[in-house]
Amino acid sequence: MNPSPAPASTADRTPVQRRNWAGEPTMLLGEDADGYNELFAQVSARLIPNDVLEDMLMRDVVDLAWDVRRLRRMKANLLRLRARNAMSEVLAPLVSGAYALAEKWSARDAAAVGRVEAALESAGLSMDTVMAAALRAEIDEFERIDAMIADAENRRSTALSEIERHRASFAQELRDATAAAADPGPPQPPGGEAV
Amino acid sequence: MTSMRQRAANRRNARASTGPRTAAGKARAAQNARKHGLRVSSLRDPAKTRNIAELARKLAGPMADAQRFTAACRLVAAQIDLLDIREARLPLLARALDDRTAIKRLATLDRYESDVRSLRKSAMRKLDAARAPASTGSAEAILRETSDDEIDIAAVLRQPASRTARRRGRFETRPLRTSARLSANEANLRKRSQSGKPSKNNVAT
Repeated sequence: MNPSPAPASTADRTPVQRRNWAGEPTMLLGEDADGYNELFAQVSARLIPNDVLEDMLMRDVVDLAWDVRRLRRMKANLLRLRARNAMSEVLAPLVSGAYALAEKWSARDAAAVGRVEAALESAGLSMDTVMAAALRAEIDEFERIDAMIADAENRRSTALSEIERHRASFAQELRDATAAAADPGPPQPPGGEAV
Repeated sequence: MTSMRQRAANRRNARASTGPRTAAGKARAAQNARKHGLRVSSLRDPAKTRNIAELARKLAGPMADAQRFTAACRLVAAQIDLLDIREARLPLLARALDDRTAIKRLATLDRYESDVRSLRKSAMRKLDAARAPASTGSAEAILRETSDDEIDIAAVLRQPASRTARRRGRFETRPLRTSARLSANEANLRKRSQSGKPSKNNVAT
């Protein structure tokens, strides 16, 4: 007879083992699956879900924390992507061929970087100006991303509160059950029925 | 002005095209207005209700009463909806940097997610409140009470949706109620006109 496998500890448990109710993790191409698994292991080691509901909520906590990271990364990347257009816009009154220069600057061409820095300095500007221009151009998108980050953070704290509430409700149920078992009611008189 | 000949041609053409006739065609046309289906609860999807009921039965436990089972159904349906929405976000997240509309759509899905989470939270609380019955009574009696014949998924659908869902038009109960109310008003008006009683709004001053 084959020996039964030893039960995995909470920290060893991979997300895939507890996905019946919570679905597969939603990962994007190029995202760090190990990072997600590590986060999952950390959260599950702290929360130690006791039932399906807690499992659902714990998965929410992990997914939402992952979402916050993902959205923050998206915001930073968006700002970086839009910086080229913003640089071209800022350089336009300062140098000729601003668009081509901005393209080269974006590709980190050493000569272009030097020219851009000199042009900005001569006009009393800095990279902050360029970033402000990028932010202004896409303010609606950044606002939406910020709102989504705030929503994800709120949902994460709601999920944690729900775990707490669920555990309190279960603890109360246990207290009621043990109290009922410990107190079987008024004592019966010996040899007869209670009057 | 339309000539008699044109009118006759229009009528002939209209008779030739009166929409889909086969069951498959009708089923396809019924989905014409459907965009993504993420606003419709899984409880409305006949293909999913069986799975929902099975999952809910497992979640609620074998001795669950109708109240607990209903809460479990709502919880499972909300969880399925939530997973659908989160899956729908993936392609949008992947192209968010290149496509300006993707972020806008993500924000819309975020709103849908809020609604579903709210429904799920409410179902979770109801499930907690409707505790599983203690196994002190006759197990057979309890099992009889919650047999398959008694558990009716349609009963779950008939129950009124939460206030948030109604406000968002999630289960589209409002138009039905409004039309019912309108026909009741019409019936009242008709009664009043037959009895010769003046309406409150039409009293001469």
